[in-house]
Amino acid sequence: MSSSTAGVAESTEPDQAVVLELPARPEFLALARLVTSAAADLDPMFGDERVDDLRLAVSEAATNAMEAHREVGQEHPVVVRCALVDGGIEVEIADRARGFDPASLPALPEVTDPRRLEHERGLGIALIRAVTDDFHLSTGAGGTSVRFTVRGRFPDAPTG
Amino acid sequence: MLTRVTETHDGDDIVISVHGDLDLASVAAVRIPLRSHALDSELTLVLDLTACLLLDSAGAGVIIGAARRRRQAGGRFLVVAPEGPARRFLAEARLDQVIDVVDRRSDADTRASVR
Repeated sequence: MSSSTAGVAESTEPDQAVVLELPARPEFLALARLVTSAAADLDPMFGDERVDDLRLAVSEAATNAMEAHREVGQEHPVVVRCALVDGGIEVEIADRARGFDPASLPALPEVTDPRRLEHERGLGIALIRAVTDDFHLSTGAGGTSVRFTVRGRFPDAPTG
Repeated sequence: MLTRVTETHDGDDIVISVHGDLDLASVAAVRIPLRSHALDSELTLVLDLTACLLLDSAGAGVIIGAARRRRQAGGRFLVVAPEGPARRFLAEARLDQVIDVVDRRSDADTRASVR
C-alpha cells in the first residue's frame, strides 16, 4: 500500500494495523463499519454499546471523507486504518480532498430554537467527539484526517 | 446486509419501517416514502426504527427534514425507537427534544393525550 496518503500518521506499530482503501461511495460505508467492529470483537472486553459507538464514529468520519472526495471530484479511495491499542481500538480515516477551516463549522441552533429543524447536517464531528476518546483532527491543503480511540473497558480494569 | 424499508398503513397511521442501517447509502430509500406523505396532515406519519441497527447524522438529516415538513404541513410525525443505537443517537444529538420519539407505537397515544 502506498505510504504517501496525506494525513495518515503512524501512531501505532505498522504490523498491528488493518488498512482499508475504500472507494468513496456510500455503499462502502457498511464495509468500513463491518471491518472496524470486527477488529473490536477481537477484544473480549468490548461491550455492545462501545461497538455501537465505534460503528457510529466510523460511519460519521467515513461519510465526511467520502463527501469531501465527491465535492472536489477526487477519484482516489478514502483510507480507513484501525488498530487494537491498550484497552481499545484506534481508528484513523483520511481523505485526499482540500481540507477545511474547523473554525468555519457553523454552530447549530439550540434544540429549543425553532430553526433547529432547518439544519439537517453539521452534527458529524461533534458526535464523533461525544462517543470516542482521544479525538484528533488534522486538516490541510492535501486533505483531512480524523483519528480517535474507542476504549472498550473501564479505565481501571486490569489489562493483564 | 442491505437496508430494507417498508411502508404499511395502519388505521390513521402511515408507518415507514427501517430494517438495517440508516446512513448516507440508505437515506434515499427512506426519504422517498417520507416525502410522499409529508402533506397528509390528517394522518400520523410514523418512522419505526425498532429494527434500525445504526443511525448516523446523514440518516438523521432525513428525519429532521421530515419533521420540519410535517410541522409546516400541520401533520403529526412520530419516531419509534426503543433502547438501542438509534435511540442513543437521537438522545446524544438531542433530537429527541425537538422530535416526538417513543419506545413503541403503543406509547404514542399516551403522548398525544399528555400533550
